Amino acid sequence: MKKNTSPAAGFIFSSIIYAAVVIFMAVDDLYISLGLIVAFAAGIITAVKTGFWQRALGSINDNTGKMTVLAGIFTLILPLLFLNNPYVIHIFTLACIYCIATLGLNIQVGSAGMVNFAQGAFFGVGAYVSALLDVHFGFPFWITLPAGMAAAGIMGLLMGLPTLKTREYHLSLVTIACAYISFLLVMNFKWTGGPDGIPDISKPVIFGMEIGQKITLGSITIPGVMTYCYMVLAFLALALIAARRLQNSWYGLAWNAIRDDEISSRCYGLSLTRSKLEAFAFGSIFAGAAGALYAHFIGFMSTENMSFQIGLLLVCMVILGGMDNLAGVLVGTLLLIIIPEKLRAFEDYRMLSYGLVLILMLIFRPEGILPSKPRMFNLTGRG
Amino acid sequence: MTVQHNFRKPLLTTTNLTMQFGGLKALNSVDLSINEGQIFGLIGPNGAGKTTFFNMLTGIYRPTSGDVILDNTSIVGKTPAEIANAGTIRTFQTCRLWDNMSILENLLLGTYMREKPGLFQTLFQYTKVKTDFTRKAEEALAVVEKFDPALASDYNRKVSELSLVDRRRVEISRAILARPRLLLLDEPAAGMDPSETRQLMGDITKLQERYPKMSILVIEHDMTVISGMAEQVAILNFGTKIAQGTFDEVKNNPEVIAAYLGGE
Amino acid sequence: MSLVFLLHLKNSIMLGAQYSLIAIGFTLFFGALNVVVFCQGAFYILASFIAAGLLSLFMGAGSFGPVVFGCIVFAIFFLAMCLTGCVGMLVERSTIRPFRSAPLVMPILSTIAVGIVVEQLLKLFYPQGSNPQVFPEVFPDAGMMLGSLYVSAGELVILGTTIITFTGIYLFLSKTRLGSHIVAISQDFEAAHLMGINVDRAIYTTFFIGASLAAIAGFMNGIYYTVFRYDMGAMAGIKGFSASVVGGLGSVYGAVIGGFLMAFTETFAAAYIPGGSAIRDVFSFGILLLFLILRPSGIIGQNSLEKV
Repeated sequence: MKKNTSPAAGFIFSSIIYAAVVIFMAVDDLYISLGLIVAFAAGIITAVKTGFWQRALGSINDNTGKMTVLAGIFTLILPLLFLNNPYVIHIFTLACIYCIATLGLNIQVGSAGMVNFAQGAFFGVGAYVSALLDVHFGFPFWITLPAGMAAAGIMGLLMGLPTLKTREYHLSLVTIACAYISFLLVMNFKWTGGPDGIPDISKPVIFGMEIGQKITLGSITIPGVMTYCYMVLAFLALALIAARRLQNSWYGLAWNAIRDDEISSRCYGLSLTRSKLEAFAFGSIFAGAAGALYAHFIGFMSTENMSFQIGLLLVCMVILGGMDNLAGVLVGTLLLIIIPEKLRAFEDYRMLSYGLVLILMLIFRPEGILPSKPRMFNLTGRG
Repeated sequence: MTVQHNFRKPLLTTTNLTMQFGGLKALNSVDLSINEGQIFGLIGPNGAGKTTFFNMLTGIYRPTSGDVILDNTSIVGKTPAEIANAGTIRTFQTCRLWDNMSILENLLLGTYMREKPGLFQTLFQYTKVKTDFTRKAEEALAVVEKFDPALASDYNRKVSELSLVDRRRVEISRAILARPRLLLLDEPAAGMDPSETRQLMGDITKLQERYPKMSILVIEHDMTVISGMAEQVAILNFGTKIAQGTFDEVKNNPEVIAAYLGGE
Repeated sequence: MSLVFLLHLKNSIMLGAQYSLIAIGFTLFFGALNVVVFCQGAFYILASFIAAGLLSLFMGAGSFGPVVFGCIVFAIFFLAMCLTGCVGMLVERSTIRPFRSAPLVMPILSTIAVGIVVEQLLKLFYPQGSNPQVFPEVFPDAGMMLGSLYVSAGELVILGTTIITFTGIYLFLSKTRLGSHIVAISQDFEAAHLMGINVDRAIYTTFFIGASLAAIAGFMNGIYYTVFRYDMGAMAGIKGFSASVVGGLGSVYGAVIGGFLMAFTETFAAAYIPGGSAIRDVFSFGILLLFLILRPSGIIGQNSLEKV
């Protein structure tokens, strides 16, 4: 592939999007938020109509390296812009935590084509294991986090077992059943706190400093949520690297292959059993990490945060953003966390609008906001 | 039976191979033996049981009775993946590529069974994955280039956008890249016009020259298509093998003529 | 047999009838289109709302003689059933047909989304929709004793309806022209199309019937438990789907057997396992997982060979 597009279009495009996001997050008034959403939608439609959208995306695709750096800088600056508005940072942190979970879910739904509604349950397993180890045994976060991830991964393997002989509908049914089973069990066990949940989960400590504490530097006060936000961003970066490497490796190829054609895959020596179990295990490890980060961020964990609805929401995020496209998954997650948060006044209509958005997306743009594309190989001396 | 290739040892042998679907015998006690490095034609009218035969050789169906021996080992009961690992690779009549993936991705997956970087290298030594991909991609493109240089230069294209002929070429290249000992081609010329068919058959014959130890079993419903290339042919009709020999021997067999005239 | 046991038995039969009816719908849809319609539960709860709404309007309108009353109640149930059936057809047209040749992920998600939308619309726009609703008591406060077990009039109606519906479905599929078309489509869609069967009409019919069956199950739920809520549909739908899978997806008999098996397991495990009633759903889903691991084709279903 020739790299002949200049990065300028992508640069301008990303900056506009970034500015739009920052403005949107800063606005507190409901009607202005609504107006902004309409304006953004109009802007996007104009961009698509005039061809700027396609040019910009092309430019971004051709200059992945530069654009990744740019996105990294943008993201790192973002919390600093809201020094006086910790609530916005709080929401942004939440969104980043969910991004880790959806990156994992994307392995199953996007790469391997298995619609898994139990990602919320794995999120819960990670959160509960980490929280219980912390509250009852006083283990530090750096032990409870891997424990939560491992527990979620093992749960993922276990759920993978009944899915081995199943496909499509049956597989989704298995995941739905597992989501309900884990929810009900956690709700009814005594040692999980039952419906009361687990309060007083401690914050992680690095070098004697507790993450999530207010820091005062002279006249500037850094809100506690800021440090946690940067820690989550570090984890998100790790998750993104891991997800990207998995996707662009033999693992990713194998998942795509079993998604596209199981019989053909088997005839080329791919083990469906192995690939499916790997997809479930890796995906739920991501969810477990996200769950643990969530529990220690909020300081409280209850079954509400691992229900079937959470699993459904995570699936919506992946579909909206674009299955098997990591950037798309991040976009979808951010949108579905931040927009409803801005429209809190319409809280009652949240589920309804999720449902409607999902139907409309499936009918009019089933490939999501950013569709997936084949891995682009650059072989020197060819093409 | 000709004896000219007696010195080669048989690679695949089926004995009494039978497949029954409910009351229907799709394949009835078929004995077949294919030698190393041989091109073998399996001919029969539509519905004669040819594809069923392939499905049993590749482990997709389990035979009702009988045995399939690949290189002195029975493969009955093994999974398609195990059989692929043992060296049997097939193509499909309907050309089953991984449709949402590019030409190169499809070809790369053909090499899936070879040694490749594991989880640790994927996560922590990613450059190894990259070099592995590049090396195998070069090899893959070299194979597909022999069929059609245009395909090799357009390697990032989605296979679902390709013409039927090109899809077939990608599929056969993908199979070659799996380095099979036994290559099963299921009606490779289906849906092609005569000149495309001729070209494809020429390509397959060339394959034989390039990989002399590989055996090729080709299914065709049209006898004339493989007349020039297969050194042995067997005729199936209603699940039963009615003749075997060189093309010329079989061509004049009255039973074969009857099957073709009566079967159409 | 002790009275407690008999009560549980009655409970599980009442529950099993509902699961079976929902499961038959799943099986019919799956047969016709090879899709699983995850919003089957929405039809179930929608029908309860329509029937309860119409019934309370009517019962507030004045008093009637018993015969007139009975006829109008029946008419209301019938109307609610037909309305739900029409919603079923609408759902097929709007959110399933567009995905007929799309990857199977699409209809899974679109029908789940429809389920959410219906549920939320009921919650938001039905008067006091988010509260539990009381199903009007339309049957006389009478009953009969079967040994030591009391069976109320409503329960007898449920039993009767179940038997009539099962028989009706059987007769429809085996004796009528349209029914045979549906069976033909479920065996071979392409061939049925080529044979000149009006595929779209048969599919519309299937959806009308499937949704109507879910509606009947919804009425039963209302009559038997007298209280229902907007969010009960999702669980009922998933249980019905599980029942059809346990029985063997694609088989009407399987759906009936699966429905009762799930109901019996759930009811008796909840009754006799200590602490079981809070996690009763775990038992029915446990049965489902067991079947999917050990016998994915279900009780009646046969292993189909993949077409290569």
